[in-house]
Amino acid sequence: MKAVLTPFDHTAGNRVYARRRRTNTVVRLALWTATALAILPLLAIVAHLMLSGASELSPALVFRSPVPVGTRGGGLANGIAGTLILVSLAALIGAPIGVAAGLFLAERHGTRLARFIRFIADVLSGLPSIVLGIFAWELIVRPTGRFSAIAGSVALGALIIPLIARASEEMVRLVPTALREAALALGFSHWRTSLTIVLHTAMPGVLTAVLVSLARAAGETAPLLFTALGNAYWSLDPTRPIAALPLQIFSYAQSPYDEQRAQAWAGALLLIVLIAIFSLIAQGVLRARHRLLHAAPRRSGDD
Amino acid sequence: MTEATFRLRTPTGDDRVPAPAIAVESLSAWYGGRAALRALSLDVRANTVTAIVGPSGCGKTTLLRCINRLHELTPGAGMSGTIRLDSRNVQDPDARPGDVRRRVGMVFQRPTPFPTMSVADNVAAGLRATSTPRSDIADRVESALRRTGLWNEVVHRLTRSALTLSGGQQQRLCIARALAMAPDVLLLDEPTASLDPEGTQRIEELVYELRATMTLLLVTHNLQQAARVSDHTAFLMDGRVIEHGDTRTLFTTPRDARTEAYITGRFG
Repeated sequence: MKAVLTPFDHTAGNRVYARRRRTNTVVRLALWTATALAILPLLAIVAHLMLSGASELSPALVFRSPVPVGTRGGGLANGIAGTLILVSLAALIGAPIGVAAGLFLAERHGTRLARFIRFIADVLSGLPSIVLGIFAWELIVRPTGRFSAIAGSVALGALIIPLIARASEEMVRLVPTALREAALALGFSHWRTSLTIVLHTAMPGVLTAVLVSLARAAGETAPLLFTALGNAYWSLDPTRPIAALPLQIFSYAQSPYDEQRAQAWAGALLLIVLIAIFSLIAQGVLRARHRLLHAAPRRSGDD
Repeated sequence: MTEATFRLRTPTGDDRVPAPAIAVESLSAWYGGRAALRALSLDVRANTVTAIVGPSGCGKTTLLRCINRLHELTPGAGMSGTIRLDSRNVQDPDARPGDVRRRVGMVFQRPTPFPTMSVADNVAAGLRATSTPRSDIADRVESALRRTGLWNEVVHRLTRSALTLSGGQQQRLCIARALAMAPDVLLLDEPTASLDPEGTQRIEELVYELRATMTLLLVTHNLQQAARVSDHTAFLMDGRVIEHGDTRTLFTTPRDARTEAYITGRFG
């Protein structure tokens, strides 16, 4: 690139400009193709689910519990309710621990202890999720002598702790040092600075991190297999086995009955919609935050 | 050092309030292996504005950060020497950093309002971390906003986010936040660096008036600003005080050739 432009060298200028336009077109095409290839599988999955499951979509699917095979009109209401309960309880267990760990990792990020915890968190988030099911089985199912929603939530909670910890660490570290020092310069203690200024400022990002990991937990099947177990009937009791959408899909998909297999497709579609709702809420939180920070009138020369 | 000696004073309007003199003795400070201050000594008289000038990287900001003990928070940073406010050593092992920082306010180069808080909550933030009675807080917020000339501009949006203010207003909000604590000492680190001329003028006038109730140190790259608002000026280079004295004298008849070179714009 040694084309130095002078104001009078129009021909050289045009040549350089033409070459840059060509490069731009080629790179743009390559990027579009890559993006399309990345999105294609997702679109294919959603399209396939629509084709196979949409016919089964009905109010009954969302609002009715399963009925015996051969009877018409049953739904997956127990699975939807169960998944919501499992995910809520998992959030109660996982979010406080995960966020606290993330705050610690961010505030003490250079220390040996923080590096150790970060390493553990990374190992945990790479663990096959069925291992977390075994963990919850040992911890809850065996001592209490029965499968329960609580055991399932413990498994899911353990699944999201490292995810939330690492993601909220990133969010907390985005808070500028200047803000932290401004609080300390007012005589704030370290813990007060961390909780009232740093965590509070990072909160929308942290909430997003929590919602994204809950969306991940909502779709998990393996940790629930021998903890929540599943339930063919309507039950909201956290100390009893509880239904969950992924478990219902898992068992219906292997069913010899056509109507159950069709419901498995519809259930998968519902699950994706549920997860999409989580993601939309997460994005909404971030957008609200963006509005707060940027759309506010900030006229210069106003003072 | 008991807590009582670092107690907050209540503001007393325009009356002159005796503030402490600052005595810095052979202060050295470093970041890892890099020295920022080399056995620097500086005596600052009570109730004056002292401008700290000098080329970039000469240690101006580090000096301020040592006085309110922010320096020790930087990983790998350290210091030796003593800093006294009147007779009290800020590095006293019994003095809690939080108590020192409540007495020594600081305003940074760029405005740092707390983004999650309203205008009023920003000013009240420091007080809420102390045992100040609730009923006093509203009064002190108002008086701090009045002193910075912000009250009339923000009185109708006290509960709005502090980020809705303009840059100059945000910086004055940060000064108000520091003033609400009624500090003895106010450290200003290039407070007008990101402001327009009008905002700059307001802050300069405020700094000039604040001498009545506190001792001020003003780091600035703007020599005209130093000449306008300060009583004394200290010229720093390579972590040392090259020359320190009456502002007018230093700018008109500098004793040191390096000071002269700097103020006449030959370097820095």
